[in-house]
Amino acid sequence: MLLRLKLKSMNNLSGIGAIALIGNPNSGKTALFNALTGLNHKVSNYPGVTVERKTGSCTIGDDTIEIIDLPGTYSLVPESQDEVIVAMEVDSWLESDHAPACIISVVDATNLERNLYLTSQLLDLGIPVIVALNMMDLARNKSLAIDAEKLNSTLGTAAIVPISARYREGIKQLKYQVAQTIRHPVDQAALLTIPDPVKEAIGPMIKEYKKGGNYTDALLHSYAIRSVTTGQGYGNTTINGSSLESSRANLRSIGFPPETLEPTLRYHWLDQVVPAAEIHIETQTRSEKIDKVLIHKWIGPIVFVGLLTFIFQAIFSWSTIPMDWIDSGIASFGNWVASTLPASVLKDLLVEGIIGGAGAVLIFLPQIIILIFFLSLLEDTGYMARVAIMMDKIMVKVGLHGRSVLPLMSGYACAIPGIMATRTIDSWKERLVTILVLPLMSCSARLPVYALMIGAFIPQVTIWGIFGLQGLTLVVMYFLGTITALILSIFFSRWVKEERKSSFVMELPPYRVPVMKSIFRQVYTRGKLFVMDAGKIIMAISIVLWFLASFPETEKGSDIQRSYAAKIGHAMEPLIKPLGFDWKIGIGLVTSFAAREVMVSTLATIYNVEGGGENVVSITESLKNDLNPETGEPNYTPLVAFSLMVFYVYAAQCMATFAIVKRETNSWKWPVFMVFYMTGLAYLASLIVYQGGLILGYA
Amino acid sequence: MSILDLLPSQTGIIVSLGGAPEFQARLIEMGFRAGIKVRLVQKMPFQGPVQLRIQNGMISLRYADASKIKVEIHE
Repeated sequence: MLLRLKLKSMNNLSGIGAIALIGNPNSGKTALFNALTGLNHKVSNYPGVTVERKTGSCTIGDDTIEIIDLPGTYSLVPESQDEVIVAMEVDSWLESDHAPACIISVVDATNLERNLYLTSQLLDLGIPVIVALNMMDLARNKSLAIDAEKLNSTLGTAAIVPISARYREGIKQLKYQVAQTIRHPVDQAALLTIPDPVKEAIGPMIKEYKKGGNYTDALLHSYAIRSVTTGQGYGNTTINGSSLESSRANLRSIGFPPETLEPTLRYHWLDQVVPAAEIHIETQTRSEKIDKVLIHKWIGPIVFVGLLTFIFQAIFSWSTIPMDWIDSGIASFGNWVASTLPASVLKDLLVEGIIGGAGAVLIFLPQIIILIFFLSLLEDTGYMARVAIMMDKIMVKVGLHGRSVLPLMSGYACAIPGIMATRTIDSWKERLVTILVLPLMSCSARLPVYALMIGAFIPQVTIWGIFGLQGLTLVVMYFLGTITALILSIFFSRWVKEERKSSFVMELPPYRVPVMKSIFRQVYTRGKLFVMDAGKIIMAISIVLWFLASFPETEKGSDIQRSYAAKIGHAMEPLIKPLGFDWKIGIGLVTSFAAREVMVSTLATIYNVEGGGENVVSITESLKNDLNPETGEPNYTPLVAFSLMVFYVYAAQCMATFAIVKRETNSWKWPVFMVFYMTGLAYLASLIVYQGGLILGYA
Repeated sequence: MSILDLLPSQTGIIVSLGGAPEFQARLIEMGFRAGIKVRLVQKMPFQGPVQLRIQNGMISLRYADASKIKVEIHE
């Protein structure tokens, strides 16, 4: 109550700059951002979840302030693309007058000194810094007592507020301190202590910055030290090669390696400032004990493969019942509409086009939910970072990076967040190769296609007592995409030129019990996206398709064999017949260029039009019963189903992916290359499966 | 001796870092520097990455990079 009154009595805060959140990866910036703004950005237990700048607004008292969430970084000297984003943002503040009113430096209280390294860099900027001492819940468990008051005065921060963003503790106090700081900005940052011999040695560089611009002492020293360390110029000063060389030579002569000058100086200072008690090494932690099993030499890989198999089995076995509900729900809704509305073109459109088309895709929602649930769980517990180190050796062998694992596995859900996640890979070559092969990871939009074909043509039998054949077929499809991605990486990495050698410094977050709320949030977000897509893209395509399939009308009413759709499909047949595909699939291949799951809605719409629209037909049954009018043989066989699934494993069919690849690689070359190689691969693989199958005698 | 010569769960004190200077700078930023205690938690098979505990953080480095960090055994 008191706090509220205090806040109300303050001056108006509007019209002031934003507040920026900066901290190490996995220090809880996004959790704090969500707590401050009430938004729901993805939070997880993997270093590098946030890879882009995000903004939201926060209410403090009666005022609204903009909050900026940035990717995590260990330093303002960046290594990877996500860290470059932070460094560039900070540079832009100093070069323009858009500096934030204050910076909240988010610090993991359980690993204080390393987190304060970045804080010490921020203190030199001349912008008030508030330290949000996060993860106090964990620090308390480890009985780490941190004297915030004392630390505040030695560091010279505006305030240090102990919080737990995860449990929303200390948020009010933090807001209060933010308001205080903005209202009474005091520059009290402690100066980095530079030993005199070092100061003398880098004198030429300091002189350079003194000439170059109007910097505060703190920033001037910070820039001079960083320039000597990295060899680059900062601010709007371009450095002179001779002052760099003489500074470096001076340092070497007093036994200071120049390339490590900045971190050495800052830690030298931090060692004095941070209470020694915080720097001790803990006895074996719980996470360490868990790791002895989960990433054990032999047990680790077995657990990993076991987990993946379990997930893909669960996708099939757990989804049967809810899928039946949705299926019968949509069917009875369609039948109700069909029997209630008077016969008209509109009714046909509604029943055959929209309900039949979009409904056929919606059925697969439970499978997508199960997949996303498990992927979020793996990430949230802290397990994914372990997978990265278990796989690094293999990944490097094929030209990728341990950090490629998370993007590739995200690709099982959707290629787009996966491609964004490659920003944490520090080498451009390994990042590019990861991007190029990532769309081969079977995304959730392929799931409806696989599930439809498997459901219709693979018998529901159990082999070896535990594995369902249907689930196993699905595993084979995912495996095919994954193994092809790894093999192609070997070739692609030979073609791409490398600028510099990659390194692998991966932080392993402690294992944590996942926050179910945040997992359900991720499941909800992706589920909603899927349903909305079904609602928009699929509905629009279903409507167009319904017209093409229903017209022109002949004297006997509409005959699908003579429709525009059939004409287009038949025109494609010479090209796709060798793969075992007929004109209906041909139409589906065209429409799936918008999104892969449209294949399912396309087939559904076609069958519903053919069925005459009195009932919503079951697409599985229609596929099985579809006979070739000339031979009387079934049009679709398990072989055709396999050929189609293999085509979908490889084919490039997602506009949104190419747009992201264009943006992330900053060139049209790579998305175009991607379309060609993937389509070529899809055609070739399908051809081999179908023709090979025919030769072997499978009809 | 190198950090890789420690036995699993054994703690050492860093004597010196090694490797490319830029990489050393990042190692220092991550908390690796002379005088700091580090524990070898475990090594992945086939000279894969090693898992290290440094201060209160858990960091994984590649085998070749870790081999350049010299330590002495902490009693």
